[in-house]
Amino acid sequence: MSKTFYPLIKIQMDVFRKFILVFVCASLVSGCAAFSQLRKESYEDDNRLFTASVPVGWMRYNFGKEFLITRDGIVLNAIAVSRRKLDEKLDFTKKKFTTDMLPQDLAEVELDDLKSVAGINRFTLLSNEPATLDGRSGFRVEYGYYTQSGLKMRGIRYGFLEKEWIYRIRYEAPTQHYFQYSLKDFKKFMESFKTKQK
Amino acid sequence: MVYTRLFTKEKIVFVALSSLLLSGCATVKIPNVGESGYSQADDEKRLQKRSEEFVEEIAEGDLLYPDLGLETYLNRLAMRLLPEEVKKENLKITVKVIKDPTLNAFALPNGYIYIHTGMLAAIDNEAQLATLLGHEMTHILHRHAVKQFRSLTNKSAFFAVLQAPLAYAGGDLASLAAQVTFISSVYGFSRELEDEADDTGFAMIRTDGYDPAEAVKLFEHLEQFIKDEELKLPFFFSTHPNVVARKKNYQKLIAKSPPAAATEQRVTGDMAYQPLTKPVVLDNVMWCFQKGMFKTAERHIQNFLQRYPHEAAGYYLKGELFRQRQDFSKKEKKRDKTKDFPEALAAYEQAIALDQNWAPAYQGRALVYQKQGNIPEAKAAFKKYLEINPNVADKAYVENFLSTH
Repeated sequence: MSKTFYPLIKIQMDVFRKFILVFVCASLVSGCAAFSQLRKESYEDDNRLFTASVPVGWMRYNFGKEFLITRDGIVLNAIAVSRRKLDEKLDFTKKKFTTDMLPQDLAEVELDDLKSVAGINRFTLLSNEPATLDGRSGFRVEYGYYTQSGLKMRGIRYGFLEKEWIYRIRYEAPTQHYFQYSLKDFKKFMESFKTKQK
Repeated sequence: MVYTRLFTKEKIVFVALSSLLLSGCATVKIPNVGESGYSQADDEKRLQKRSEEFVEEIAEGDLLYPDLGLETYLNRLAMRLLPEEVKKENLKITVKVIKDPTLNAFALPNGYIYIHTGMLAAIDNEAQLATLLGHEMTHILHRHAVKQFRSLTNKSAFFAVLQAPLAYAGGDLASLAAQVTFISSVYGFSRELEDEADDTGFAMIRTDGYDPAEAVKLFEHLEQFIKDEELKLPFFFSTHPNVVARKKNYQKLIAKSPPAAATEQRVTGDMAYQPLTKPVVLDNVMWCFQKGMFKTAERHIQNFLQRYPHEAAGYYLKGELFRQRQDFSKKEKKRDKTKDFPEALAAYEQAIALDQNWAPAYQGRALVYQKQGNIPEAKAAFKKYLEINPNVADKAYVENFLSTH
């Protein structure tokens, strides 16, 4: 199963489990760390084909299929971007994104995938609206849920189609303190977000 | 399954391996609940304690389907099936429903039985439900968890296989065996114990006067579900060979059971079961949509419309099925929606004809028209949708469409 675009609760388990092993091996063998600090604002991603202003000082997780950055730790705040082929299976629902989908259809699949995650309790949809990203029609959903350990989380997700690809961007953090605290960084990231051609 | 977070995939695979090791081995002999000599040793008490923890985890995890009327009915039925000699043992059977569209049910050693909404939605009547409860109750009454636990800890071959990995992981056999036993409670016991649950469960439904022919249908539902959803997970109650074995077992039991007397009433219990599970079916279809289980959703909708041909909800869900479904044959690259959309529109129309204020049917209709490029009809449907319910969740999309077209 592909491990891209997991919500924090899932990443928490996956990353921590793999982190130790990957970190030790990678550091010893190649000198490459699992996390690296973002030192400049402009960021260009050649794998996921986007550019954006990233918050300087945040840490980037160097493994996994998605671009993932955090300030205080991935459980406490994370911005993630994924770009995947439309025919690729999603992680938690058998539904797929398709080229003929309206923005609200994309939001429906995104929310279905999110709600199908084991460990997301008392899910609440706070808003679901159309969004324009880099000139493309897409969606913006805002939601809340409780983790299995009772932590109240809040998140925002965007998504849009780019030919045979779907871009999905998310920000998630605990509702208390962290969500509001890092929201300005996410807003800046979104305002500057642009896709780039190969 | 929604509670899979409580078990890792590795553990589940391990259960499969341990069951293979156990197959063909003689089961530990201990008295059943209610038989003379019945008492609980420390190992069984530990399994019960773990069960209590699991019950709490499920209760705290937003997994239970909140329908007191349905729960009362299920618990009364379980009590009715419970043999008299067990009732005096102060063992309480508690039946709960889990919000999960997959077809499964399981029993914990402490007397809790959990049934998925998916299973309740697939079951047709009380006789099939009684078959399920009889099977699960036998796991509890015949103490299958502790039997499996003791079989595991007694196996020298089992220990030999696990010694190295256990030592490496810093674990011990007793705690690992307890975990395996516990997972078995959810994912299925050894073949021998499952056969025993079939036999005793079948006797329970015969005693209560249910039509034995219904017992096999329960496993036909499971078989169909596995086929529809192309299940590949280690999912014991519903793994295909297991279900086929269960089905054959019940067919043999039916063939062996004495023919019904002319005066014997064969009870299926449709009238009691179907009204109580009506909301479960509707909710479960929505969860099937969420998970992309369209074939299972289709079966539930067909059954619902057969039972309730004048319910707008059924036609609305049929419309949603044709609007959302994405499954396609191996020859196609993706589903041809041009065939689905007219079906969806027809179903939405039927829903509206039965209930003119069924707002979601207008929403579905508008979305289909929008995709077909029929803008005037899409606008009219969206306007009606907002008129009935001005505070819909997707209001921003609707207003955006209406203002730009």
